[in-house]
Amino acid sequence: MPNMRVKQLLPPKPFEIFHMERSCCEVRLEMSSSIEYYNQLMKDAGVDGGVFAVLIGLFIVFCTAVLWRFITGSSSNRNGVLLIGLSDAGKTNLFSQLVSGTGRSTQTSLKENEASYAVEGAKRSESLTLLDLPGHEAIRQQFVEKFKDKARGIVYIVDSETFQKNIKDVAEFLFQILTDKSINKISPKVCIACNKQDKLMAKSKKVIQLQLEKELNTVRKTQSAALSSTSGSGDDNVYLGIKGEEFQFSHVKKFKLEFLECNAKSDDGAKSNIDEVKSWISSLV
Amino acid sequence: MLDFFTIFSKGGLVLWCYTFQGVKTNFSEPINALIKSVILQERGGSALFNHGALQMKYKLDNEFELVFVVGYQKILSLLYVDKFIDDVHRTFRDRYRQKLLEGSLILLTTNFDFESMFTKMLRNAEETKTQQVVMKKFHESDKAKKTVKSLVIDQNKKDGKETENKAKVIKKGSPKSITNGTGSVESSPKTQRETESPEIARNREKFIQKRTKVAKATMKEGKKAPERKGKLNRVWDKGGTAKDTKDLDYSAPPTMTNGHSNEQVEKEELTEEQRALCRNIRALDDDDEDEEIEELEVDEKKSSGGFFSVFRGLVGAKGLTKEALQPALDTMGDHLIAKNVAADIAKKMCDSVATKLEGKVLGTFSTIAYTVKQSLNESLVQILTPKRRVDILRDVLESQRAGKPYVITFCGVNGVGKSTNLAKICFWLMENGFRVLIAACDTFRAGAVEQLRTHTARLSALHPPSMHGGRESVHLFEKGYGKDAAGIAMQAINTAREMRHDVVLVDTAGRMQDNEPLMRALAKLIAVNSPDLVLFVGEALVGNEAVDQLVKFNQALADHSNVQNPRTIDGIVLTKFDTIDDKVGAAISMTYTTGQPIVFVGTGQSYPDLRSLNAKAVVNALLK
Repeated sequence: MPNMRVKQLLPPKPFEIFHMERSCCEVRLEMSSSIEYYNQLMKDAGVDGGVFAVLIGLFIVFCTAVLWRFITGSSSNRNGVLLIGLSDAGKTNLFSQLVSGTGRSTQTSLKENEASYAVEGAKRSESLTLLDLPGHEAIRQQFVEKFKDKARGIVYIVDSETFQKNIKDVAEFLFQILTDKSINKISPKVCIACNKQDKLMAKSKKVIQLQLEKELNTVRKTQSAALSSTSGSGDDNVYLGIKGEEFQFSHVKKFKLEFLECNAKSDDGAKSNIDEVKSWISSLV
Repeated sequence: MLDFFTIFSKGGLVLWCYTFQGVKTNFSEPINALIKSVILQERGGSALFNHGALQMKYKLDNEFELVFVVGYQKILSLLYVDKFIDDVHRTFRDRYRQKLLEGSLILLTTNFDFESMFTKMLRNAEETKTQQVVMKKFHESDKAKKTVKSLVIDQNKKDGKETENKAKVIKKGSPKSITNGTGSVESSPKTQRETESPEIARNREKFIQKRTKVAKATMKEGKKAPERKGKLNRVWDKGGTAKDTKDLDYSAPPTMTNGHSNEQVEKEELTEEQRALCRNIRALDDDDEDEEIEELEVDEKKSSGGFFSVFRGLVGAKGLTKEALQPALDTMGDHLIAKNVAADIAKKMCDSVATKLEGKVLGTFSTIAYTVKQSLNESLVQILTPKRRVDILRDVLESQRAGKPYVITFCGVNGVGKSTNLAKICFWLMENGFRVLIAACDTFRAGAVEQLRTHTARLSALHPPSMHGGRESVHLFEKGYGKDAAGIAMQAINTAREMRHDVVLVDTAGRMQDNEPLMRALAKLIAVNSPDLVLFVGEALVGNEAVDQLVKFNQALADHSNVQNPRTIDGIVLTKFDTIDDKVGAAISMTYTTGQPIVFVGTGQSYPDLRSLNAKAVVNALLK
């Protein structure tokens, strides 16, 4: 019994201090004292505490913004190749030829087709995405708006057989693409693929180029004279070519326009020939 | 009997196609017509489409982005096609589910070997159709299963003592029903209830059923179900036979052993029954409370499920059902109607959005309301976007090169602004250097010719000949009042050709759409002169009337012309656009009804107040 009493009289061992109840007041005192210590440090260094906090906040925001832009907005992220054109030009067929090497029967597209396309001889990190957008007049503008920011290259497909009949529509759509503000900002490479070359009445690419130049000259005039839209805007489109001169494709330097011939269908004896298109796409990488 | 069956993706790749034997033609052309006119014009509410002699039914799979189309001859009325498409859809989806979930690459390279299953299903469908419905024999019918006794109407219960007997009968009936259990509840009270109305019978049965639940807990179950007696002689209490003398003897005081006297017995019975009723009522209340508690519990369970189902709805992989879409669609439909879209157009738009979204799997963190709004936005922009190139100046240049005048005709009902907008369009054309001839074919309304004369004078002043190389850029061709409009138009066009005018603007009189002689006159004018552009002038203030006007105008133009391909309305001029704030629904009604684009928008009464339609801005204002 005297031993026990002696035990109680001994002072608490160090580890016992941890188990002792610390009241919140004690904790708060400790914290405030450490805060005062750091404040004192900063005051000695000459830095005001409030300003310091704001600076740290701004720095974090800045870092986030830089990271964000680096992740999403860089040009290396734009690896889409858009296949656009009028309805029935052969876009979906060309898409299937490029992606799988086989032709397939197709119907009018209601939605876009998307697939990744591996360029031969290129690094794996440089794979492109082929996007086949529908050509029907009512929905094509929506899809172009959706995917134009992803475009590294645009393939504008023209039906060489019915070109003469539809030249006004072909020219109008091409004009809309070439004068679009955001497309001009990105300035992807554009090629005009004259499809269905296996048909008897197909025009060659030189003829198509000449006729399109003449038509675009006229369209340029009429579109600039068109009425402004109800919302008041709609006149921010870029002027195509050089003012006062007849329009020529060589005036439009930023898109590096090229004319190609191709033939996407591979039945009825004619083999499909899309080599020009393939080599053009490889040149994008 | 079918002609063809196709399955293709919404991106246009044909996955599988089947043409029946003996059918040689290529079906891509009618299918393209189906896509262009039905799906792209948002007429997706009805799944039927006629193209020549061919009738096509289609079904959209919104989860895997597929379209199923079946075609057959219109004269055959095949009844199994709807169910057949659904069956094929389900089978195809289940079989190729894995492949369909991967991207377009797999769709391109797989060869869908569906033919054997398809022919099997087709044979089944055709066979079920040909099965004759065999009439049931009498002994198979329900009537033969009832006993004769149940069909007998008990004559004695008919009148007089009905109410009393009913009361007694209920009480007698209920113990029967209690002890019989649930099975024979309907049969026993049935015989006594034939004279009542069915509703009272139903309510009574419900009441009895409730009491059976209670009775099982509270009442004794000692009573046996009495045997269904045959026809017994009615025994009247104190009916006056010799046997009753004892009962009728009131000389002695009543004894307890005999039971009480009848009255007292009855009273006691009544009080007993009333107490029983009260007990029952209390028990019923308890029962109700029990039910309420049960319901609350169920609700709580539901709501606790609902709490988690919010997250499940965000993350889950279930497709949308029509029921889930219905409330969101109803709200959007009402919103559109509030914005002056015609009522049935709004409904049709919502139906087509429902067809496009049914079965679609929502992405993470997208609610149903947001998806519906997005889809509706896309559909509306699609409707307002022109389906053909709209460039009047280009077409005028083309006609100029060909050496003939470009003729535009304006038609519409009274007071929509035809003459005013004609003057505005004339001003615009003159600004672009064209020479215009105005034909005053409104020979009816007082002051119409003078109005156009004033406009011509003003426009001439704005564009004097000195500006355009010494030539007048605008002329008026008029022949006064009361003459035939078609004749004046023809003369005007000839004059324009001689005087080398580039454009002829023909102003017609306003007419109501159901005024038959006037519609015939207009149809004659258009059929005889075959203008390059027939513009319907409609005001933006119109509501449901727009649909009626356009339908009747188109019909009249089609009916009263004798040519094979009649000229109908080619474009719409939407006037008085500055008077509506954001209630721009008339634009939707008009373009949906005709399928033609809105070429001009009039926004005021002076010459520069002419605009072109910006589809996106209008749809944003509509869905705000």
